[in-house]
This record gives sequence, C-alpha cells and structure tokens, in this order.
Amino acid sequence: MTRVVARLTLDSVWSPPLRNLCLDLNTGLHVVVGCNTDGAATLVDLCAGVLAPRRGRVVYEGREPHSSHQLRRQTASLLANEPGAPGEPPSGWWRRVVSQRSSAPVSNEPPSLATASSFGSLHLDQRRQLALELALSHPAPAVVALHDPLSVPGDVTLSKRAERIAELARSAVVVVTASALHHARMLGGQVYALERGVIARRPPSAWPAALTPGLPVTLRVDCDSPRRLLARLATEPCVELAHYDAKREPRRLQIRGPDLEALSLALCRAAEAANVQVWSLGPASLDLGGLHAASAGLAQAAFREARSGRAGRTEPPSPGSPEPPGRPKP
Amino acid sequence: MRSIVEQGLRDAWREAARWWLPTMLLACVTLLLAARLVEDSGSATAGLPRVVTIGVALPLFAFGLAARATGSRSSLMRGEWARHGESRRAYAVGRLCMTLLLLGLTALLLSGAVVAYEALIPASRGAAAAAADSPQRLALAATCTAFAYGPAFALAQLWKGTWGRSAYVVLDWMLGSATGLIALPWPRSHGLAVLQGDGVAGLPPWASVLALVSLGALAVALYAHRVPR
Repeated sequence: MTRVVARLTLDSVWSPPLRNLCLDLNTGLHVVVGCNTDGAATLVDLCAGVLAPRRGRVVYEGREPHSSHQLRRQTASLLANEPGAPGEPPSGWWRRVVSQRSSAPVSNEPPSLATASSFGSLHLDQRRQLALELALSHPAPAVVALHDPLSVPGDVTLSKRAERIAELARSAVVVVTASALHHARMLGGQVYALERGVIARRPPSAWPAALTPGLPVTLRVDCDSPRRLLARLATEPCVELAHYDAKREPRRLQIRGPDLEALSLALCRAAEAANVQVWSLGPASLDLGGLHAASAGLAQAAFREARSGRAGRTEPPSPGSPEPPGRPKP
Repeated sequence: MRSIVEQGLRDAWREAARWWLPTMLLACVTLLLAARLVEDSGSATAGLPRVVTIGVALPLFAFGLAARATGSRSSLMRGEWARHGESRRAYAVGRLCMTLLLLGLTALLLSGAVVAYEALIPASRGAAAAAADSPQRLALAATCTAFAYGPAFALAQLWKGTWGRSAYVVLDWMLGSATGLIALPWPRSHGLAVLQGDGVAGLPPWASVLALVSLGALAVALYAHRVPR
C-alpha cells in the first residue's frame, strides 16, 4: 500500500502571538509543545481555517484553510475555545456536521453529552469533549488540528485517544498541541517546542531525553523507606537504573526503565512486597518552564559559541591598517 | 448552499430580534415624536419628522443592526458551520439578507408612523406642507435609503469593526450634507434628495433613487467579495 504524502506549509506566518512562523508539516503526527500564550491556540486556529494569518500563508496542497470550504470539510479540529453552535441543540449540530462531511446517510449516533438541550447548558470542558469526539470520528480527514486533546476530560482513556490520533496520522497531516510534556511524550511523533510565538526546537535537533518518545522514562518516587524499596526493585527486570541520594534527598528514589506502565507496575509490586508506603509518584521529566529554560540556555550557548568563533577568526587589525569599510567609528 | 443561507437568515434573526429590535424601534418612534414636538414648537422647518426618519433614525438603526445581524469578521470566521465546511460567503450573504429585510420593514414602519402622526395630529404650521408630500415618496426614500445603508454598514463592520461603522456614519453625516459632487457617494444626500424632490449635484430625483440602489448593490457585492470562502 502506497502512502500519499501531503504537506501543510506555514510560510512566514505572523498572527499574534505567532511571529514569523515557518513550518513544513508532512503527512504524519506533529506535536507542538507550548501553552496558549506561546501561540498554541492560534496555531490550531490557523490550521483549522477559523483564522486568517495577518501576514504569510498557511497552505495545504495549494489551498488555504481559511478560504477553502472544501478543505475545511476535510479538516477535523478541536479549538481552545469551543463555542458550539448557539441556538442549535447539540444532537442536531452533531448530526448536521456528520452528514455535512459525507453524502452517505448518518450512521454515527451522537454521544450522550449531545442530548443536552443547548450548548449554553454545557461548560467549556464538555463542549471540548464533544468537539474532540466529533474530530476523532472524522472518516477521512486531510488535516487534523487539535488543541491539547489529552487534557480534555472524558470516558475514553488517554491511550485510546492517542491511538486514534496515531491512526489518523497515517493518512493526514495531524497537528496536535500539548501543554504538558508527558502528553507530548504519550502522543509521540515529531515534537516541536513553541515558545513565545516561535519554534524554539524542532526535529532532528537536540531534544531533552526526558521527552523523546521511545527513550527510557524516569520515575520519581517519594516513600517512607527508599532503601527497602530499592532492594526489592533491584530484582525487577524492567528497571534499568535506580538512583538514590541519601544525603540530598533521603526520602526520594529515581528509577528508570523503557516502559512507563511496566515500571509503575513493578514499583507497586515492590512497594507491596517490601511493605513500603509510597507518598507520591510522578515522571521526573521537565515541565514546560524547565523546557523553555533549557531552550534559552541552549540558544545562549549557541550564540556565545558563534560569537567566540567569529572573534577567533577575525584577525586583530594592525596599528597602521585602515578601518574596514562600513564599520562605524566609536 | 440553500440550507446555509437559511442558517444565516435564522442566526441573524436570533441575534437581532430578541430584545434589541423592539427596543430600537421604540427609540426610533420616540425620536420621531420628539421631532414632531420640535416642529410644533415652531423652532424648526416643516416636515422635520420626515427628515429625521431619513437622516437620523434610519442611519442609527442601520448602524446598530448591521453590527448585530451581520456579525463581526471574527464571528464570521469562527462560525461553526463554516468551520465544518459550509461556505462562509453564503452564510454571510444569508445574514445580510435578513439585515436588509429587517431594515426594509423598519423603514416602512417608520414611514407609516410619520404618516399616521401627520394624519391623526396635524401640525399647526407644517400641515399643509406635510399634506403636499405624498406618503409614497417618503416610503420610497426610506426603503431605498435603508437598502443603501445596510450593506454599507455591514461592509464597514467587516472592514474595521466598530471604528469602521463609526467612521462611515460620521463621513455620511458630514459629506452627505454637502451639495456638490462630494455628496454623491453618500446615502444621506440621496435619501434627502428623494424625500425633498430635488437632486444631488444637479441630478434629477430619480437619479438619486438609482444612486441609492446602486450604492446598496455595490456594497452587497463588495461585502460578499471580502468575506473569505
């Protein structure tokens, strides 16, 4: 089976807070890590065609989402602020949108949430839940733009949602924003970091190991007896590395393994067997602030390196030589 | 296509008709009553309510209605049906049609109110002048002016929001009161010309009717063109 590769291009897009954003997104999953103030919501709006860029172009196969209703029909989207359709019952809205997508008779029954009398009686999370279900039920989208889909509450587990998104990514350009790094990790795909309107990191450049999908994950465990727990965990095959610093953090243990679920289960088994009380458990990965700080540090280091390299290449002028042209005198 | 135009008509009606429309109609009728009182007091020329209908009540009514019924650019862009693949342009035209319909009905209603005032309570000074003016002429002037104002305000709203509409109404009042060629593109000058039976910049009154219809049609075309598909 041949895989058709389409491309969604954002060419020098200015749309506050996005600043001169350039992205070439092929068919597949693209996860953009960032919050709304970084421009994540605006990026999804642009891809969904509900916002026209102030400058620059958003193009999918020669068509712009904001000016092509045929393309919008092939677009599944979840916005940051889902307005719903005021004056329309959610069930009617659902049926109409589903029938609008294809000429086939409507077989997709609306979810239970759609039985509400109006959109006004649903709060934002519920409206987003409805919109996400509608987006993920699209039979054959060309573009999928989802704003923080794993933070939407609902009956469906996160892993099932992530699986459906990965399934859609086989034939569509899928742009997903995530404000939490563990969500980005769960989704996988190509990961970009959006910071204050610009892409601060993009593949295949350096990326924190704590975030890269497929690389080992580290768990941070706070408990009453880390030594006993460590002794038990040493026999577990899924634990690759355990770290304990009795001086700095006497109640904290860090364990690393290839699989988050397996690691968590092993930890639970060991805690039960060693009769250890676990107080808290979480991924020892960066948060968004840490990621931005790391990006800023890398950028600063690169700038310094470039500056020192240029200074090293430049010959110091001899006392009698003239000033280079175009250089202002102090 | 047809269903999305209908959806636009329905949404415009829902936005405008709840409490805004009756309130504004009441305000317009109150304005006409006040104009009648001023006319009766003798400090104004005869036929003041007619002039107020064309020159003040209709522009202000269209100013408010265009914002509510046609919606802002961002609300059109974020419209739920257009987002899921319906033509945004057809939807916007549906909303504009409802705006025009409401404006036309309001123009006829206000004309009827003025004629009814004049018939029931004849003004002491302006009765003769008012009787001389035919109700048909007032209705024609009001309807044509409404047809010119509606799309023009919708276009200004689409272009620059409230600032655009405000700029248009100020320019219309300032330049539309002039007598030369500068008054030609403004509905106010043509509306008053049709009402009073004289032309703008030496043109005959029927040319003003034609100008109002042309201005409205041009604004409708520009509006439809500027809304992204």
